[in-house]
Order: sequence, then C-alpha cells, then structure tokens
Amino acid sequence: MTMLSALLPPLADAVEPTVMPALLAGAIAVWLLLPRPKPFPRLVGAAAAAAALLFAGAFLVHVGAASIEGVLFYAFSGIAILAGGLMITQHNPAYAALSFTLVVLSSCGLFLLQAAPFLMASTVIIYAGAIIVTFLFVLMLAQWRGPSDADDRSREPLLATVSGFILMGALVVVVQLTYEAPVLDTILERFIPDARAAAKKETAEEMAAALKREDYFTALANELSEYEKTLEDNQRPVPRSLVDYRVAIDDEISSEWIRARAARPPDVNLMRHALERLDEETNRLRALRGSHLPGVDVTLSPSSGPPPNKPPLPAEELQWDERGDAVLKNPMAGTRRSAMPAENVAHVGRSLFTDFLLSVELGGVILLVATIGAIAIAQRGGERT
Amino acid sequence: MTPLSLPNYLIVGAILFCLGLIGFLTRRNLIIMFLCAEMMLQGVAINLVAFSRHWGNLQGQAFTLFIITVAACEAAIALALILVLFRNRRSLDVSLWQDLREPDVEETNDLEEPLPEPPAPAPLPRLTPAGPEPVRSEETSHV
Repeated sequence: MTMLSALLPPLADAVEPTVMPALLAGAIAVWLLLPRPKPFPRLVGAAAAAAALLFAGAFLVHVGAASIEGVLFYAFSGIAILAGGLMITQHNPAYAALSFTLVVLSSCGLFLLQAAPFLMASTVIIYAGAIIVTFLFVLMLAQWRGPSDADDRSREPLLATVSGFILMGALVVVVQLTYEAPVLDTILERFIPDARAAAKKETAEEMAAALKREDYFTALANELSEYEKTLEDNQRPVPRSLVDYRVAIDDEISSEWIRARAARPPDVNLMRHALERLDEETNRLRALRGSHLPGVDVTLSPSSGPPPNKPPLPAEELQWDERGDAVLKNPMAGTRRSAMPAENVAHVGRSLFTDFLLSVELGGVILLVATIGAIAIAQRGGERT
Repeated sequence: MTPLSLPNYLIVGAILFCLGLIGFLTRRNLIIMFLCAEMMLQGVAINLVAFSRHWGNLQGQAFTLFIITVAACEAAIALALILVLFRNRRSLDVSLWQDLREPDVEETNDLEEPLPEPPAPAPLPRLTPAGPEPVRSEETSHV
C-alpha cells in the first residue's frame, strides 16, 4: 500500500500488499462479532472474517510444491485462528471454553509439525485435559443458569479491537521485514539457479556455459554490494551475514573458480566444489538473515542440541559416485536446520536435567506454592484454622 | 519467498497472541478473561517451539514446558480467586469490582443498554383447593 510505503523507508517492498486488507477485514470482523445487547447480524461478521482469512491466506500461502507439511500447517493454523476468533466473540462461556480447547488442540498439531511430540502430548494432557476441564467445572458451578448479563456486553470493543490489530500489524510487519527480503531474493533468484544447474554438469565448458556469464561471481558480488549500499543509504542496518556472504563470494569462491578454470586441464572437481560452496553459503545466508545471536565466543552448552551461535554442520567432503556426480555425504550439511533428535522425550529429559536443572527445581517450588495458595484462598471463612 | 519456514509460525503465534489480548480487554466474564490470557500464552508457546525447530536445539521446548507449568499454577490460583470473588457478589462479572480501582481513575461505564426482555414465563396453573381451609390460631409470639 502506498500509505505504508510512504511511512517506511523505500525498502518497505518487503511488506506484502495483502497485509493491510487482511488486518482491516479481521478488525471489522472481530468488532462486528463481539457480544452486544443488540448484536449485529452474525452473517456480516462471519463474511468479514472469511474475507480476512482469505487475504491472510494470500500472503501466508505460497503456492509451490504442495507438501504434506504445508497442508497440515494451513489446516492447523486456520483452525487455531478461527477457534481463537470464535472464543473471544462467543456469547455463551461454555462454548468459548470449547473453542479454546480447539485452539489448544490445533496448536498441539503445530507443535507436532515442529518436531515436539513430547510437548504435544503434555499440552494435550495438562492444558486441554486438566486446565480447561477445571474451568468448565467452575463455570458449571458458578453459572449453571447459562450466560449471564456480563456475557452480553463487551467493554470498549472499538478501542480494544483497534489497539489489538495495530499490535498485530506491527508484529506481522516486523516478522516480514526481518525474514523476507524480496530484493535479496530477486538477486539470488537471478544467479543461484544457474550455479545449481552448473554444478550438475560434467565438463568445464558445460559448467561455464551454464553460468551464462563470464563474470558471474563478480556480477553477483557487485549486485550484493549495491544492495548493501542501498541499505546504508536508507539508514537500515546491514546484516553481518550479508557482508560475510559477499566477502566469501568475492574472495574465496571466485578465486577458487578462476584458479580451477585457468588450470590446464581445467580442474572440474574444484569448479564443482566452488559451486557447491556457493550453494551452502546461500543457504546459510537465508537461514541467518535477521538473527541476533550471542557471539561465538560465548560458550553455550550442547546438552540441548547444537548451540545456535556456532557455525552450522560443516560441509562434508564431496564424494563422487561412479558416474562422476558430486554427492554430499551428509544431505543436511550447509543448511542451518540440523535434524532434531528422534528420541525427543529422552533428549528433552536430558536437556531439562542438565541445562535447566535450577529452573526445574524452581518450577517444582512454584507448583507447591500454588497448591498451598489455592487451598488457602478457596477455604471458606468459617473453616479457617 | 521460502515455502514454509519460521516466519509462518511466528505470524500464527502473533495472531493468537493479539486475539487473546483483544478478548482479555473486552470481555467481562472472569473465566473468559482468563481463557484469553491462556490463549496469549499459547501464541507465545508456538513461537518458542518454532524457534527451537529453527535452530535445531531443545531450548525453546524446555522453555515451553516451563510455560505450561506456570500456566497450570496460574490457573489454580486464578480459579481460587474467582471462586472467592464469586462468593462475595454471586456473579462472574468483573465490572462489579470497580471500586478496587485507583482513586483518580474514573469509573468505567459501558453503555449499559437494557438487555432485551427475556420471554415471560408461562403462568403456573391454578389448582382448585382440595378441601376446607384448616383453622389457624393467631400468631401471639414473634421471635
């Protein structure tokens, strides 16, 4: 939107144009659906909510390779957001508690997608199984006649909706600006597929031809330094990962390529290694962009897994199979996302009792204090000893 | 744009958090207010687990476990408090407790429109008396 672009520096093209209509439609839907003594027709609110979800889907959904993870993610997050909206606009508090159960169950589905099966099981048991059931019991004892006066009214619906959606807009914009950089993406998309295609070629001439330009690495480094200069001109911080990437291309990878190419006969393996290195560095840049990590001199414990401030898994030596194709020994090498341990429960236990031992003990103390406190508060006055 | 990665999960967490915030500010039923606070915690938990997956270590998951622990404690104490408040005023309406506000803050008065009249209950049937009314003596003592 032009208004948004005028407010932010010109690099606001990072923000998808469907953010504003989605937020507006969502705000209108929530405001219309909040309980009132004389409520607006529910159909209008439902239509606005459907429009908001469609717009949000347009900027969250990326039509590409449809994977089972994608389908499950959109199903779970759609159900979670729908149930969340239902919960805050429900007239009957028992239905609101049931909608919250749906929110918890779909967020447990999201936990499972993020390789956290123990968290999924414990959240279902503790949250959906104990906390929400307790709430329903209290509701049953306190409001056994059904929804009361208080459920038909909402306090300052307009102000609350506006401030909530302004916060949501700020969060969404910040996430997008941090993690999605279309300018950088367009630069990389112009160059990296050629490098990937060239790495699959057999001979030096085919590789050089697949790169489509003689000064491939220099051109890429120039475009990146122009992008850095644009960032500086607009007083935006230049990510260190971007500078490292450009320096790696300029100094190491391009010289390796030139040396390999100039050798007589041209060293195909070294050329291919240069291209693989470029791919690995690109993956590292995409994974690190926008991160704030403690410096590498800060030693973090490895009991919870690989410390995030250490370099990712090193690229293993390339292997060549009998056809002469390069094969990486470790397919996860070079990507930031190292594999999560399969025995999640065992590793969570190990992590809790080594890295977080003090927190576990304090959590136990909190639970004890809460038990005693709840019993002490809820005692009737006459029975107080 | 990358197909399905960290920002997607962060946005879902942010949306759940903000919806919980709006519900907490808006609703007047104590139990629903508390459920909205729990929904904010769920949004934060989704964020933490997404970061844990992104960096490939378990710190986010351990943090989320502690969030669940503290949420359970909070639920116990909050329910005890809600019960005490309910016993005092026989209602779960939070605006009945406005005299707990600071002295220089105005009382919040929602547009207290009258609710639509509930339908009048059907009149009870009148039965014919079954026999002569018994003789009752006058009440002489009043306790």
